[in-house]
Amino acid sequence: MAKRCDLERLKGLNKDLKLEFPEQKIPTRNGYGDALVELGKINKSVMVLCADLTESTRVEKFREKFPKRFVEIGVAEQNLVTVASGLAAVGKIPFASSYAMFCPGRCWEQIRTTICYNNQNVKIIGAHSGVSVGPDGATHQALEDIAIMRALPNMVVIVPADYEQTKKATHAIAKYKGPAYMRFAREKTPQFTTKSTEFKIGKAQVLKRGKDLAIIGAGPVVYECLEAAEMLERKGISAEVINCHTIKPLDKNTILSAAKKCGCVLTVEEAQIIGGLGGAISELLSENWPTKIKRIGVRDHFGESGSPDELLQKFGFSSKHIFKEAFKFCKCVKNN
Amino acid sequence: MSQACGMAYGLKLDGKKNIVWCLTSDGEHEEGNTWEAVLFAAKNKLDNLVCILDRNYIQIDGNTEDIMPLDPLDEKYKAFNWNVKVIKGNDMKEILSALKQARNNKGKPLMIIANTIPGKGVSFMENDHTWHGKPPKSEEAKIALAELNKIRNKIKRIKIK
Repeated sequence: MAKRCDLERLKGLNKDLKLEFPEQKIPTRNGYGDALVELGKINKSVMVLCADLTESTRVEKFREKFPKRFVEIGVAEQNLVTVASGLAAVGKIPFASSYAMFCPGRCWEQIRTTICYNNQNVKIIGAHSGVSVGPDGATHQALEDIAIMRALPNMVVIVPADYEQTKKATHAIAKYKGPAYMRFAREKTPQFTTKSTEFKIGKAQVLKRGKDLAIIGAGPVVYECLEAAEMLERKGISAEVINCHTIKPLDKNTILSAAKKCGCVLTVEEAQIIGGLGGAISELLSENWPTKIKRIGVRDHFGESGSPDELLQKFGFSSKHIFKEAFKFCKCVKNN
Repeated sequence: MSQACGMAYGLKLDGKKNIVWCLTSDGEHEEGNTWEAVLFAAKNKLDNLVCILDRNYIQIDGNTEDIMPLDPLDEKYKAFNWNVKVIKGNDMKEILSALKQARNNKGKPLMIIANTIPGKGVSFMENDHTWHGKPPKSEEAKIALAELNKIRNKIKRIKIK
């Protein structure tokens, strides 16, 4: 485990991003809930809809403060997104909140037809994504949501890295005119960006510069990537770490730059390796700068019931596992 | 219907006097999300929402009551806490009267079930489900248009009071 001071002294750390490595761990969903309350105050058009998951999607504070602008939909995700489409049609900025497995899981076609095709200004929020959802098991662990949302025209797909970033992302998608999807996890995860770390939709963040391997991640696993990079430094491998919070539209320039500089790319996401961040980057590199790539994610099977920590370990999302895979991969590429 | 519900909800929230008119079909009442909208509209007393259901009893594979029985739709809607009106959907006087009355709808969303004859006015199309989604060939179209034009020439203008 990298200590806070080790990460702060990390070679190539991007000082401009004003990262900090405190002991704090906060759930990303709290960032969503807190940002909504701020948004509710400054923008009267913001409305929040929920499909019977108010507390766990952290929208209860918005409901308390702005009860008239909160719509309880009940267990009906198709209605959730389509009512949101109707609200957007009369000038509202609706945030449709549920677990990612249910929305977009159950209502992908309604999102496609009533939101994307109409280019309606609806924000879709997929909470409880990834294996770290824990004991609820495979039926509740959304791993395919990035893939199915990425394939939709007009959809923006964001996976913020921590609480602060989730707050900024919530504000950013409220300002953005058009459909947007944001997914986050359930558990407390390390808070490493600060209020001063800038956030722009579509602009990937080079957290640490390096030249031997580009590690590109999305979501709270990005912190594990930084820890893995620290371990790699100790072994003489200089990894570049990129926080690719916006999977669509992809920051092609930053990724291609990194691929050209480093010669090999490792992607990390708490999702299936098929079709998500890894898929997006593979597509980009194949067409523009074919680069050896390795994808870390769930390898085309379902999650399972367990404690979040157990599952993160089992499915390879710890910094130790990322380090091992990165080391093996980098050595293999450099030797050929 | 869910989109119409969203619009009606937003307009009501803003105190606007608009009515949202939503045309729906019988076949789509086999979809679950239609009933999600029905529940939602009733819960939120969206009396600014007026739906008109084209009750023609046909869908792609045949008669709705053979594919997935829907009757009694009027009782279902009443049970779901909507106001319900049943009209002859090919009778313009009944249609105009119902739409006029709909502007005074209060307390619950309104469903106007319009019983229609699909393909009315074209002798070889009436009540034939195979025409649900199929365009006529040019010879067939000629005959159909001739029959419709005959009816058009008979229509007298109806004064709306």
